[in-house]
Amino acid sequence: MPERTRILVVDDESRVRSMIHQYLTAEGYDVTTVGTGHEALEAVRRDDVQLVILDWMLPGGLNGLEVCREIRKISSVAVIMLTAKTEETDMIVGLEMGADDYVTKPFRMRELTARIRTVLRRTQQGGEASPANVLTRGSLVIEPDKFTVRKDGEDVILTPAEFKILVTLATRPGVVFSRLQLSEVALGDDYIHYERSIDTHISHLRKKIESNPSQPEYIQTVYGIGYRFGVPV
Amino acid sequence: MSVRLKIWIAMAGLILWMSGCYLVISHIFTESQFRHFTTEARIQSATRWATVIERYYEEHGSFTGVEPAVKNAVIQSPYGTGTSLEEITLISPNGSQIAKIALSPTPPDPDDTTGVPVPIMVNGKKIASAIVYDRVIEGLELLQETTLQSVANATLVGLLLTAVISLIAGGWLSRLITKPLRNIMGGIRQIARGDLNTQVRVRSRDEFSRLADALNDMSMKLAQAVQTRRRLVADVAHELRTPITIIQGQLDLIQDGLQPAEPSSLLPIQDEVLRLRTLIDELHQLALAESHQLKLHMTRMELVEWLSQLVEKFKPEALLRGIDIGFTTEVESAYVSADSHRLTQVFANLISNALRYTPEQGAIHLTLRENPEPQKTVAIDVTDTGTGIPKEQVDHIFDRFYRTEEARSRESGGLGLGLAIAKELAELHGGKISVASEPGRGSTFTITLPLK
Ligand SMILES: Nc1ncnc2c1ncn2[C@@H]1O[C@H](COP(=O)(O)OP(=O)(O)OP(=O)(O)O)[C@@H](O)[C@H]1O
Ligand SMILES: [Mg+2]
Repeated sequence: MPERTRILVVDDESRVRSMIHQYLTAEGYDVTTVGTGHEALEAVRRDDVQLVILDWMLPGGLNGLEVCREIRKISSVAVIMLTAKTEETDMIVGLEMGADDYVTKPFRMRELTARIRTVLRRTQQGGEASPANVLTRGSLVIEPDKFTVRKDGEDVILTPAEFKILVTLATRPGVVFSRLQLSEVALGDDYIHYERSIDTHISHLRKKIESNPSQPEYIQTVYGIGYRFGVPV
Repeated sequence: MSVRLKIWIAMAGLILWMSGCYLVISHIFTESQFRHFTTEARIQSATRWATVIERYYEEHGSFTGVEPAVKNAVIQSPYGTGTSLEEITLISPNGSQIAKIALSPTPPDPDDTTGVPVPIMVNGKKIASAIVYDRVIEGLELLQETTLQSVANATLVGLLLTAVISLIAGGWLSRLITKPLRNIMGGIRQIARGDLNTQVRVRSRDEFSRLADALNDMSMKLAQAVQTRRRLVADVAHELRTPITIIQGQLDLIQDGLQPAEPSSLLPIQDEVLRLRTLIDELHQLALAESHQLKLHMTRMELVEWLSQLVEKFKPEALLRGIDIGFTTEVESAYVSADSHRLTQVFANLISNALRYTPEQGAIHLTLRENPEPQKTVAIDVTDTGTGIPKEQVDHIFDRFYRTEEARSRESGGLGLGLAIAKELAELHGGKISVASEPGRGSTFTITLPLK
């Protein structure tokens, strides 16, 4: 059995810490949480950590950026910064300080876990392929990173929005997503008020991947709620 | 029409009007002077020749031969043949003509009225009257006319010159006067365009500079208000981030089936929603207090009794946390006019802060005492033996959303609105709130209230 990935979460808000802790544990990671920069450095020195999630704003004299720089001096562990600031320059500074990626607050746990997977794949090259890399669902084979979908071995051409919707749904078969959630994923925050347009994307998507679009087996409508990915029998 | 044009027109009009008046007045005056002078000269001439005739009559006893004698006299006079005397008609008292002494080849016009009648008096008796026509007078009239004309000309030229000069000067002056006005206008336009840091510069010390000062003051206040609003929006957005992140994360967990939707996994969501509610309530209250829209129901209150009851209410919680809480008073009674509900809020906040930032075995103490400065006020100290507040952060703790770093990293941190609200409420009561703190040893928050 392969050793589980250990993630260190550094955030001064205990509630955020415990939430991330719960989520990542449920996702199958080993999680350590600390509240200050000094504790973070200690943990990096002490434990075999594969990834650090680091809050930008930390109390106690050592802020996220400084912690990141210190970590880089002692380790090549992957770092994802959590930042409330959305200014480009801050991110560039963050990345220059050695962070591998950044996520802005308020962030979605789904987005964070996606970034974690990507960063881990990048930093753990040569390691075993993550199962999330290829989604096989019935006759569909989806490769999120390569942006490809094959149905019965044949390539299906999807628009970016359709692809994002498909990946979101297919990652969690059986889970119902609301239109609003899907439009946030597919179209971004700016289009969040156009949730109905998601229906159009869905119908296009069905035409491309369903054998019988009027009786979809993959993308199912949950009447009055939203859509879910059906598990084909 | 611009003010500048108005000023200019007013000035030009005034100058034109004054010049016109001057022209008319000088004309009338010169004319009357001349008329006066002419009359005088005629009378003088007539009187002189009347004297000559009188002397002749006295010598000869009759008017016979008066004509050559007078002519002779004229020729021998300093004027000689160049005399302007034209004719003298002698008329007897009954109206018949006695003699007509013609001195010029052309006799005067019969309609000529310029002849001056003078009585010929001998021994105090009027024996005849003479009508003297003197041409010198006509020359004078010509002089009068040319003089009047040249006065008018001079005035007109002067008028034109002053008009040109005054119009130029007026233009320049009105420009000068309205320059600050234009500066101010420019400033207002800039402010309207959204540049709130505009400061208008007016150098003069007059109404305009006062207007500019008022404008500068206004734009500064406006800029501050906008700044405050921006900060508030940023603060609120920042405060919303954490609850939203947590709620979403927790909900994702449940939706993704990573955690069952049982009460324990819903609890964090409940907590965050509660925090959001508190945030909204407190923000609303702060906004009301800051804009002085909070209605206070003032009643006369006695603080000694009221505070001891208040402290009593916090005893259970203090006991639970292992903290000692007490109250002493240095005065027998203290009456203030206050809204007891709001005042409770103020003290409840201070006490709950003290409870929150004081470790077990610590103590919280309230002291009611007379306040030396300002007079007629009372002071209440809320002292704790807690963590204290670092010097560089003391100035900020009354700012909304401000929490010390120590407080931020704690489990049960508040929103940082409590002290901001307490400060506004204390000030609405005419009081003040201040703090003295020693890091590691504790803090004392002091509220002063006016006595009633
Ligand atoms: N008695 C005290 N001892 C030490 N620090 C204090 C004390 N009272 C207040 N502070 C500091 O001042 C900050 C602001 O206090 P305030 O009451 O405004 O906010 P809060 O208590 O954190 O939140 P809220 O009152 O809105 O629930 C606190 O976060 C804390 O850092
Ligand atoms: Mg408080």
